[in-house]
Amino acid sequence: MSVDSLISSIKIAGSGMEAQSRRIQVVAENIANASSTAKVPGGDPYQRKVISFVDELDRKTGANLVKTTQITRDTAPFPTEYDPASPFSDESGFVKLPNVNAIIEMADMREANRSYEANLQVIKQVRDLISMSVDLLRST
Amino acid sequence: MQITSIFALASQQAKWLGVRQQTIAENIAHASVAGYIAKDVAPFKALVEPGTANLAATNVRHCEGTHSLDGFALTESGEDGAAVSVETEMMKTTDVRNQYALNAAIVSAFHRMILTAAKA
Repeated sequence: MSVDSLISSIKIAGSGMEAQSRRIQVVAENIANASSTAKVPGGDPYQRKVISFVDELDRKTGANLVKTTQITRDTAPFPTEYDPASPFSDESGFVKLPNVNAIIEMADMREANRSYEANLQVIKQVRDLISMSVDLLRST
Repeated sequence: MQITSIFALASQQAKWLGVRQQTIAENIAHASVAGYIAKDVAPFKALVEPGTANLAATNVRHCEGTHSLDGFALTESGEDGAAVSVETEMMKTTDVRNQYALNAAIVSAFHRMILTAAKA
């Protein structure tokens, strides 16, 4: 039945949108914490979160969905700033800053945005195709 | 050609278009998955021409693998294993849409023909 594969298409595009919104959530967390330093003097600050995607077969429909894997931390080194007045500076007066780069986060957010739009476009298209089939019954 | 075989052909093409739309949806959804290779369905022309390879489940133990979907053979686009190009996928959806509209129009035209014959 052809409508079955169209409905699976909606499911697949939906899983893509869900994955992209998780990605935007991670970007939001990173940007919001772009200047979160450690809570103890000389400690590690906020470490950037990284999200990755894998494909997963939905056994019920045979559709190949997208899933987000566990969120990992970016192991890039922390930049430091000389600020002896800060309560969180180490013995030599340096404060570790989060390894978040606002420009990279922005680029990531834009990519997630476009990807979300593309998935939305698929859903719109599939809806049109289904209504074309339903219109066959209506017009006669 | 019998009028009923037109319906059989049209329904087969509608099914094929549905499967193609599903592969497009998969490609777009997996655009950010590392290592994912874009897929497509084998052309419809190859299915209706006699003597071409068409995957059929002739045994209940045949299960669908990664190379077929609803009995239609899948191809991996680009032998270099290219990642997904969203632009190409968008072009393919337009193509699917046009063909689906044509298909629906043909079915409706032939249905009207049958109705004319039945009412006369």
